[in-house]
Formats: sequence, structure tokens, C-alpha cells
Amino acid sequence: MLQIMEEKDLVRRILAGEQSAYHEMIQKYQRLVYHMVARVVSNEQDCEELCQDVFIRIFDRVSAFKFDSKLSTWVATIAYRQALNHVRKTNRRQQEQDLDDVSYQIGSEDRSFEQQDYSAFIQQLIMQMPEQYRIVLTLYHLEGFSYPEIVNITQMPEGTVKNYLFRAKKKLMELSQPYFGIEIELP
Amino acid sequence: MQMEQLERVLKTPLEMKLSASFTQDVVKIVMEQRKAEERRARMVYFISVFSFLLASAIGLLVFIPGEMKKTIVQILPWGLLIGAMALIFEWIDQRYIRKKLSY
Repeated sequence: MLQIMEEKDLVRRILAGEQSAYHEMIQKYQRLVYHMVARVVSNEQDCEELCQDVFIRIFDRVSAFKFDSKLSTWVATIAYRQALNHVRKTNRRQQEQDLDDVSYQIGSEDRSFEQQDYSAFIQQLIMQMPEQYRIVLTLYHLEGFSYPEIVNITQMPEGTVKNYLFRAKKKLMELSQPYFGIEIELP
Repeated sequence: MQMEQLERVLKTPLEMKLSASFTQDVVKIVMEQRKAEERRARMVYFISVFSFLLASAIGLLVFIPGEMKKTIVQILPWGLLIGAMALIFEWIDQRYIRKKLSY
């Protein structure tokens, strides 16, 4: 209840043109927007430009926000759509990715992964996944959204969301087994 | 153990690589856009009022007979007063009422 009151007050101040409210909004949601965008766009400059575009759109549309969801859900929806539009525009010719393409080159020269930071290794694997998987992982684990909220943001059926999460985690577990001393079967 | 570690990594926030002036830049762009929109709205408004006044003046000059013109000149200050009132109400509406209603 308190959160809704605070959100209403923030939106009211933005509509009244208070600069401090704009700053507050960006400070409050920049991590969420950054996570959504950075998971889809790997280029740093593109990422920053897209984050800017997301906030510009948020301020442009804020008068249409009717408080039928949390403000964070609405912000995430805009970030998600903007990020996907950007990817569709820039990677029009790129082939459709598949979760099975996510791999680690075992036996290659780059076999230094055992010394690598586990976290960085996982992040690299995530970035190889199709966008939808990355987004669902981000929304659920990083931002702590519930299944209905993720459905609201992505417009995917709940079953699909759960399936993506399950498959993505299973894949990450499989590929990270060497970190835990479990041998991977070589192809 | 393996699952716990994976979940921990998945919950670790990404390193933010936005420029230090990110917030300032966004606010500046948004403010400039808002000012441009207001300027555009004001211009459309004044062009409309000016066109209306011009059309009225031409109409008066062309279609009103000579003796009636004297009467019109006499009541013109009232017309101007009504016009001024309309402008003031429009300003109050733009400045105070619409922002509250849009919320």
C-alpha cells in the first residue's frame, strides 16, 4: 500500500514537471532497465543509448500508466519491448538462436575456464542463449519478479516462462559441471 | 551445492557500465522535448487565434454595411475583453488544470 502511494506520488511529480522526480525515477529503475537491456544488447554504447531511449519513452508514456500493475512491472515491460525491437532491427539477418547452440569449446585452446571466475563464466553462457531465455532468467532471478509479473511483461504463457527457466538452468548446470569436478562427456 | 552456487550467480547484479552523466543526460533530453512540445502547442494556439481574428476582420470589412460598422467599432472593446478573458482561461487551464487531470 505504501509502495503504491509512493509510486503515485512519484508519477504525480513527474507529470507536474518536477526535475527531482525525473532524477528519482531514473535512480530507482536504472538498474532494472540496465539489466533488461544489457542482457539483450552486448555493445556498451548501444546499451547506454537504448537505456536512454527506454527512459525517454517511460517519461513520454507515464501519463498513460493507470496503476493496474507495479511501476517496476510497467518499466520492465517498456524496457523489454524496446530491447527486443532494437534486436529485431539490428539483427534482422541473424539466424534464429537455439538453446542447444549454447556451449563451451571443450578441448580448444581456450581451456582456461577452470581458472576463470565462475560468475563470469555463467554470464558468458547466458549471453549465448536466445534473448527470451536471457530475459526470463533476468526477470526471475535478478529482479525477483513473480511468474504472473513475467507473463505480464513478456506476454508469454506461464508454462513457457517456467519451461524457459527450467531449460536455461538445466543447460547452465550441465555446462558448469567441470567447476565442481564432474567430467563432461566429450563429443 | 552446485545449484546453490548457480542461483547465487544468477542473483548477482550485473556491473553497471552507464556513464556518470547518464541521469543528467536523460533529464536534459526529456526537458528539451517537453519545452519543444510546449513551444509547438503555443505556436499552433497563436496561429489559430490570429487566423480567427484575421478572418473576422476580413468578414467585417467585406460583408457588413457602412452604418453597422460604427456600432461594431463601439462594441469592439467588449469583444477584445472577451478575447483577453479566453486567453487568460486558456492559460489557467494549461498551467494548472490539465496537469492535474492527466494524473
